[in-house]
Amino acid sequence: MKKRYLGFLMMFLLLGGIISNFRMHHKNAQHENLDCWIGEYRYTESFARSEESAEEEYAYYNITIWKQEDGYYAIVQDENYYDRSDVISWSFASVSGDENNIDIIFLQTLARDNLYGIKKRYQEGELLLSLEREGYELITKWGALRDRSPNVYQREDAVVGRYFQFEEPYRG
Amino acid sequence: MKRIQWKSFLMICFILVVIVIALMFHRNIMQQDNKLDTWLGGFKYEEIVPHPSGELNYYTDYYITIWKHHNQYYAAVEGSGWQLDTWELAYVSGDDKMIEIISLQTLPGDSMYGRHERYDKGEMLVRLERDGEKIITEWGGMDHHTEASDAVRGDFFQQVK
Repeated sequence: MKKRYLGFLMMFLLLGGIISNFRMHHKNAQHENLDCWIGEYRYTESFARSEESAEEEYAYYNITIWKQEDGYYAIVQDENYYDRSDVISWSFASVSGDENNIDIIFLQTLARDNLYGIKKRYQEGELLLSLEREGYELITKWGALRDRSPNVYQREDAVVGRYFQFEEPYRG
Repeated sequence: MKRIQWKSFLMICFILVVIVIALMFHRNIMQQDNKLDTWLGGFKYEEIVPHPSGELNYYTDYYITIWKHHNQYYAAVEGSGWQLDTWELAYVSGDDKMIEIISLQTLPGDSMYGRHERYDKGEMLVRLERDGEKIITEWGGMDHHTEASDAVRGDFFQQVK
């Protein structure tokens, strides 16, 4: 009689242990070593506001990548100036990949974004962009973030190229 | 037969009790986790510091962006302008009335990044407290230009989003 109860209890504990282990494994799943990608990446593009206007305007993009206990994350920012008004987007994203290539994946819109509180700028899980190392070159493959770029958005052949560059930390 | 039915009944009761306890525990955690949801968003403070000559002013902007991820609350702390270039990742603790912004790490883009951490990990940068409709700021370790001793606590940050 006691053995049967003991058997049920052990099955229950084993099940609980398996479930807990699965959750921990899922949390740690993205822990590839991406330390070499930690840092700041920038891209600045100039564009003409209209075909009639020779006046140049600028869009500034910034990606900050860091490491936390549960993985690698990024804040993806850009500021465009359309018709003289600030258009700011800020996204919190996860970073996954390997030492040669990373995907920056949208998680949520942050409060600095013009759309915050109105709607999500992208879908959770949507690929914003990828960065790939080719020797000393850094290649950008635009994903959903291309809608922020006046030049890239219009061109089919500009989805992959040299855009973002690593910013060396200030050394004083 | 009766003995088997009694055993099955006891086992089912045991499992139900465990499930109820687990659900109560989970619900308690969720309630605690959601207490800081009222602080999600952006907080801004613009500071104007007059030059000693009185002929010009220095402008400094501070911005705290708070978000939630995996039931933890995080903040990006920016300070930019005159002699300030702060870009810090922090975590948020507290309750629906008061939060503390606690330093985690200096982020790439901060002028000190790569040389040393701007703040000690675990250092309290700033405390925000709700007082009715107002937010009261209490400066901790966060770099700022407000130097007067009576300005450590007061109306500084306001929720903008």
